[in-house]
Order: sequence, then C-alpha cells, then structure tokens
Amino acid sequence: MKRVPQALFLLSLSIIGFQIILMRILSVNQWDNFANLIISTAMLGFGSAGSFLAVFKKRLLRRADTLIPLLMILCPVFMLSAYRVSQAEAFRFDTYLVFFSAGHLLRLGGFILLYFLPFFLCALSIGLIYVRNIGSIGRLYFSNLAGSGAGGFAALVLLKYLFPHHALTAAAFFPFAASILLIPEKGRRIYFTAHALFAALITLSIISPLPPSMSQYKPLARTKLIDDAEVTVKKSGHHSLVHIIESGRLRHAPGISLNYAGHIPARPAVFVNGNAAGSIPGYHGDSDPLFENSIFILPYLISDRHKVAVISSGTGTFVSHAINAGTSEIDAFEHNADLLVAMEKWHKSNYPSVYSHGSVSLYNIEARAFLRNTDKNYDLIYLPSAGSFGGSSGLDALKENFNTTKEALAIYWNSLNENGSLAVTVYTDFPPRATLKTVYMLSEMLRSSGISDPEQHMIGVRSWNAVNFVVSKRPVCRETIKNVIEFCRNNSFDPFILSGISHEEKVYFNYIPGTELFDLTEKILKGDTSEADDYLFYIRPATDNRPYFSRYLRISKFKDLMQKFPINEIPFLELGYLIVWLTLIFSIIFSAVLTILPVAIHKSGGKKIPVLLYFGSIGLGYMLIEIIFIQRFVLYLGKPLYAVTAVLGILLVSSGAGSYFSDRIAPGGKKHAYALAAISSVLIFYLFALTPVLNLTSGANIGVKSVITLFTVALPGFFMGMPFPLGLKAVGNSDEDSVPWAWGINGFFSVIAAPLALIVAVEAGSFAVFSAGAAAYLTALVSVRKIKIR
Amino acid sequence: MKTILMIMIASSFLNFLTALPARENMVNAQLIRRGISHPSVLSAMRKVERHKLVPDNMRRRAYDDSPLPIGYGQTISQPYIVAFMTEAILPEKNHRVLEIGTGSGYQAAVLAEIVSEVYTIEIVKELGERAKKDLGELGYGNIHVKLADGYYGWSEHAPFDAIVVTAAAEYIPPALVEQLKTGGRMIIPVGSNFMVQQLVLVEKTEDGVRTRSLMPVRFVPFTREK
Repeated sequence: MKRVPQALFLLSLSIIGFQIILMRILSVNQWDNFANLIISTAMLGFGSAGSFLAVFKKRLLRRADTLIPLLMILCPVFMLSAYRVSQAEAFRFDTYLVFFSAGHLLRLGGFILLYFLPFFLCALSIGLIYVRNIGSIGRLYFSNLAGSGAGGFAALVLLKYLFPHHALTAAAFFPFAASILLIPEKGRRIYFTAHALFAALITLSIISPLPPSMSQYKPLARTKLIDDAEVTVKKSGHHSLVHIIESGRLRHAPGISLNYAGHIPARPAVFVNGNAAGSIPGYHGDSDPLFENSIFILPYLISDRHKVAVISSGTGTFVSHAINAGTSEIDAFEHNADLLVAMEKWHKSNYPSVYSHGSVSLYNIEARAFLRNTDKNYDLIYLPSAGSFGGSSGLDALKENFNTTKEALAIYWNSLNENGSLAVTVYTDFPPRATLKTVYMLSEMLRSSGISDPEQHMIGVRSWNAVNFVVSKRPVCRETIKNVIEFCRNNSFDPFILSGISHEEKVYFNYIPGTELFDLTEKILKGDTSEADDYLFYIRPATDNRPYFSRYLRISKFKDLMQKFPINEIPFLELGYLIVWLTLIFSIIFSAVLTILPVAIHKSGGKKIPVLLYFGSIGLGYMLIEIIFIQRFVLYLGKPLYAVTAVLGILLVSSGAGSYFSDRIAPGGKKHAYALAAISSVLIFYLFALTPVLNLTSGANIGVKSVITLFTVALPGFFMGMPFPLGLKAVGNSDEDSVPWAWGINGFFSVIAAPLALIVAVEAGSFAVFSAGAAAYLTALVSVRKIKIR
Repeated sequence: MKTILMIMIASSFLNFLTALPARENMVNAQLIRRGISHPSVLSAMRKVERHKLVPDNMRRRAYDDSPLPIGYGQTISQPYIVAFMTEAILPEKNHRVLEIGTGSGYQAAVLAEIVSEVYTIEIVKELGERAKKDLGELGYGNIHVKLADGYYGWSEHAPFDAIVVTAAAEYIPPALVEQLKTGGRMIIPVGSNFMVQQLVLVEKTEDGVRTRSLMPVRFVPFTREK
C-alpha cells in the first residue's frame, strides 16, 4: 500500500486532465459537440478494464506488483501516440464528412478505439489496485476522486498557459510520475522499453509539436487559405483558443442595404475555437456608414437611446453601433475573458478598442446575473444575434445559451425603462426556424408581461438575409410606423412585423415565395400557437430547463422531414444533435462489446441481475447528476468555466471524502442503505428546492455564492461517494469474482450516461435528467440488499 | 430511434452503394424530372465532363445527386443546384457572365457552354490554379480565371449580363451590383456546406435592386416520383 494512494492521485489527475484537454482539442479542430464522445470514451476504457479484470483476474493479480507501474507508464505512451496518430491524414475524421462518407464514419469509430487505449490502461491499473486492496478501497477511492478533482483544476491551469497540444504533453508527465512511485526495486529492467518509448514521445512532442489539424470546413481553416491572411494574435486560455486574423480581404457587413454603394473596409476577424466570432469594429471616432445603412440602426431610429446594454457583446460590433448612435451610457457584457484579452492585445498595437470609449462599461460576466440584481434601467437592450449567415448545419444545436431563454428575456424586459426596447437580429434560414422561434420567444415574453396584443409592441424589418426585431414597452405609434416604412423604402428593406402592413408590402423588395413564414408569424403573434407547436421544426421558446435556442430538430417529425429533404441532406440540417445520437450508438455498441460481452462469456458469480441493477444505477445516476449540476451552476456562477471547475472539483472531492468515510460502514448493511436513502432524499429535495434557492441567492457576492455552491454540491456528493466502494466490498466479501463484473457494469452505464443525459435534457429538460438521476439512486436503494450473497 | 439509425446508416452508405450514373442519366433523373427545362442548360449539363473537375478520389461519385468535397473546405455543388442557378440567370449566347468563387470550375464550364465569355474569380490560390489548369485541359478558351478578391468584381470587363456568386458572403459587394447591367441578374446560394437551402436572385432594375428567394424543388426527392 506504500505510496499507492499518491500514485493513484497522480494517475487520476492525469486522466481527468487528459479528458478536458482532449475536449478542448476537439472543440478547436472539430466542434463543441464531441465533449460527450470524450467522456464516453473515457468511461469505455474504465468499463472495459473492469471486464478485462474479470476474465484475467488471477493472472493479473499474480503479476500485479510489476503490472501496475508498467500500465501506468504505458498510459502516457498511448496518450501521446493516440494524439499523434489521430492527427495523421489517414486517421483524421471530419465532422462534416461523417455523414457524407462511410470512410469518415469508420475513422470516427477508429478515433474512439484509439483514445480508448490510454483510458483502458489507466483504468486497468486503477482496477488492479482496487482488487488487490479491497479492504482499503475507501481510502483508495478517496485518492482516486481527489486526484480527479485536482485534474480538472490542473487542466485549466495548463490550458491557461499552454496551447492545447502542449498541455496534453504536460499532462502525460503525471502518470509517468505515478509509475516511478510504484516501481519495485527488483526487476526494473522490464520498464526500460516503456520508459524509452515515453522519453522518445515526450522528446518528439517537445521538439516537433503537432498542433491539432483543423477541419477544412472550420471558418478559421478557410480564412487561413486567403493569400494575405496573417494570424496577428493567438491566445489560449481557460475558455477558449482565440485567433485574430488580418487580411486585406476580410470584410464584415451583415444587414447592409443593397443600395449602399460605398466601400466596405477590411477588418480583422476574430475566431473563438476556430469559429467566426465577428470582426473588430473600426475606431470609435469614425462615423460608420455601414451602421447607418444597415438594419441595425432600426432601434435608434425609433427612439433616442441614452442607456444601452449589449448582451454577449463579443468583438464589440453592437457596442460600436451604440457609440455611433451617440449613446451616453453603454454596458457591455461578455463572459469570454480570453476573447477580451486577445482583443486588448490586438488593440494595444493598433487603434483603441470600442470598449475603451468613455461611455462604455465592460462587464466580464453573464448579463442576466448582473441585470437580475441591479436597479439599472435601460433604453435599449441588444440581445445576441440568432443563427449565422447560411446556417452552421446545426452544429450549435446543443449549445446551452441561458441568455436567450424565456426566463432571461423576462429579466431583460424588467430591466427596461418605460420607453425601453429589446432588439435582436436573426439571420433568416430556409425552411424558416430561427426567425419563427424568435417571434415565438418575443411574443411569449410580451404575453407573460400582460401585453395581450404583441404585434402592437413589435417591429421587424427584413433585409435579403436577416431580420431585425425591436420590441418596445410602449405600443408602436403611427409616426414610428411611417418612419419605418420610409426607412425600408430608402434601403430596399421590407417591414416584416408592422401594424397594418399588407403581405405585398412585406415582400416588396425581398420576395419570398409562399406565405408560411408570414402566416405562422401572424398566428403566433395572435396567440394561436397550435400550428407552430406542430411545425416541422421545434420552434418553441428556449427555457432554463431546455436552454437550447438553436435546436430545431424534432424526432417526431423525422418522417415529414424525409418527405421534404433528400435523405443525404437531413444530417446537414442539424449535425450537432445527430452527432450526440451517433455518440450514443457508438457508446452502446463499443460498451456492449468491450465491457459486457467479456464478462458475459466469462462465468462469474450468480448475482448478475442485482449487481447489474445496483452498479448500473449508481453509474448512471452519478453521471446524470454531475452533468445536470454543471448545467445548473453555469447560470448561477455566471461563467461556464467556474461552474465546470467548481462542480467537478467539489463533487469529486466530496465523493472522495464520502468513500473514505465509507470504510466505517458495513457493506450491504443498514447504514449502506441509509447512505443511498440520503442521496435519493437530497436529490428529490433539490428537484424542487435547488432552483428557488439559487434564484434567491443569485444576487449575492461571489464569496456567498461559492459557499452555497460548496454546500449544495458537497452534500449529495459526500453520500454519492459511498455506494460504489460499499457495493464493491459487499460483492467482494461474498463473491470476489463479481467485483470486476460490477465495475464493468458501472462503466457501461457511465459510458452511455453522457450522451443519454444530453438527449434527455434536449427532449424533456434538465428537470427530467435530475429526476432520472434521483430515480437511479432509488433503484440502487431497492437492490442494495440483494447484491450481498449470504 | 429506429428512424434515426436508418437515416444515419443510409446517409453514410447511400452514395457508397450506388453505381456511377452517366451524365445522361444525371440530366434525365436529377434535372428534367425536377423541372429544369432550359434547352441550353440541359445541353451544357450533358456536355461538361464533371468527373474531370473533381478530385480523383471523388470521380466515381461525380454524377451523384449531391455536392462533393473538393478540398480546401469547399464543395462542388450538386448538379441540380448548378443547373438551377444557371437557368435562373436566363443565360444567352451573347452574354458575358461573372462568377465569384471558381471552386472546381464546373459552374464556369457549364456557363461557358452557353454564353460567350465567362470571367471567374477565385480567392484561394490552390483552387484557382487547379481550376485554371483543368479548364484549360478541357479546352475552354472562353473562361478567364483570375486569382483575386471577388469583392471588387472585374471592372475591366464590366458590365456583366449576369453574375453567379458561388461563395456567398453575408453582404453583396457594392461593386458587384454596380458591375451588373441594368436588367441583369445575380444569383447567390445561401446555406451551409453540403446543403444549399435557398437561392437568392438579385435583380437590378431602373427602380433599384430587389431580391427574390428561389426555393429549389429538390425538396421532393426525384426517386419518389412516379
């Protein structure tokens, strides 16, 4: 046991760090949708290692002293090799081509198997340690979870100072250090080859680093192809990898009038994780003809705006508009600190930033948390734009956005003064989705505020590719209607929502065939949402319970979709969501083959059903609760980074403490059942009390919030750390052969939990995921008495 | 769940399993049945050797009813979309057409079969050079390829009877509107990679500029028609 907990700590730290760094790499070179894939792959390694132990337990235990450090050193060897191989042209998959070419689908499968190996080796060494020291499992599980918690922090520190591929190299040192701690004094020669391999790979990674190969379809990759494109700023940080590119050919002028005959100047383009995040606006001293000739001027035409708030202000385009409109007080909210730092760096060697303008206050927090707890009132609040020009093939479908939920809109609405307005721009898509969802969202907001005729408070102006909506506290007056009509006529725009306008006037300059968009809009505004609710796409407003504004795909409408679109195009309507389904399918297949099948073939014990129920439930339950906690605290803490780090860290460390404490509890006994009952009770209580408590304290300072987060997460976390070691002991004491089987089952359900949680969250909401987590622990409670053979 | 599985498997393997259609089959099955009727367009689509303008590894899928990757984050449009865009600008023999975004060169070749001169601009050097070489080998003397920024158009050869923008931006460059003849037509596809969702026709009239969204009828798959 000497030095085993320390080694276990280091190994666990590394494996969690490796996971988080891999997620970053995939979000940069592919898209964000692969986080679940990485979690599932890691869990696959863990589940499969349990099964492997079941089959080869005796042989492995005989050589455990030698094997454990050997596996630990092989783990980073495979980490580094998997990364290098996965970047090779022959093995690299492309998100866009996964649904286009069978070859890329196979490559995706290969990717999972490739990265499965380091996780498998790591988990096998952990499993061997557990099986070998079953009596001290509580203490060891503590080291495991504490190390995992520390791994989250370590990854964030590494990503703050290093580019992702360098951070991955750094993470590989931890399992190496763990192995050094456990190498026996005798027989060191057998480690020589593994050490030499590790040294060679580390040297290669340092002297010949391999940056992630980006999908050719990522906007950054495409922009770099422009002859004179030059990356002038590159910044890696907690949140993201930011690039600023300059080229004489990069221009940005959304919503510009077709009648504008002036020049559109080149602007530096900003990319966050390889995705376009906008362009850096011109120096605030300049007048901006692009603004004056665009649909964005609409809210300023309707009324004077002295106090303006810009939500998710990004590169500052809308802040620049407010400055150009002569606004005296502008509050800009942007949570991505890395983006702001990168821009600051660029502005230092160029002209001053719009954020440095005397009228602008920049807040590096989520807007709704600020607005909820301030008495400030605004004349105008600009919401983040919805969609993107041409669409993104639905790659943002599952991106949580708490800034565009029903609850967020209510906060914004209450932050307006009596003449205030909300404004939002939507890129039009066909068949219409984002436009209709925005109309639905704004209309519901007005109705909830007691306005029975939303159309009287709303203006929409449409260019050939975007619609700008302005929703005001006061009804739209005749004078305004007249001004808007004139504005549209001068700029070849069409009124989309404007009281008393005929259909012909709505399509005069920018004709759209058919009347579906307009008819549905009219019905939604009148409060008749039956057709909208039955529409081909999901266009109901996003809520905090289902904060997926960009999700439009409806499983129930697949047959109808197939009537309208060629089958090979459907994936490109909503790649993001389909990738999660694909992850689930891969997870089930690989997990069944690599975790269930080996132990099913290998006869071990006769208590498979109770063990399946117990370990399956706690595997599923733990992951569901972890994922949903992260989602809930993103909103509460105001920054996704804080939420992920805090929840993961607190949950894992408190679970570690729980497992340490579990050494004092008799496995399979009453107290074991009490622990499960405690988890279920706390989770059921949280189902109804967590949101009100978090809402009530959302205005508190970060210190108070941290304490509340700590207690809220640690309480169930402490008890959630007990069922696994207690269950293993209960099974191990009576039927040792069933221990790996139990581990395998736990792994299988953990593998499928990540994509499953997301699918349930999208289809039924986070409340349903939380309920499923609580139900899983209740199932474990029911089956706990049966896992122990008397 | 079953449906999703079916779609995923089918969409990935569909093209893999289908045999290479001939150009004639492509024209009959993918174009005429979906309503493309302009004789010159159909004739051009029959004539242009699409398989010689796609990367080698895509040749056997050249006449598939789908866009194909050509590298550099670009695709060659689905044959139907190329035909639809060509038909939408009402091309005539004496026309001079500007294309923004040469890509594979296929759209330029189809246009060159119908109109007198095609001027095409590509911003990505590698693509432009490849298209220039391929189009030269196919003998298109009336296609002029320039490696440049499409934002400025090609003022030396303006005004144009029509402009085909294959790589759409979120704005229409003022220079393009200016270089379009009054009465001329400009066509722009809007959508993401591998899926053109709509086509926008820009018409320059005496009264100003107007746009018209054109919805491709391909939303009814041809295989389902009787």
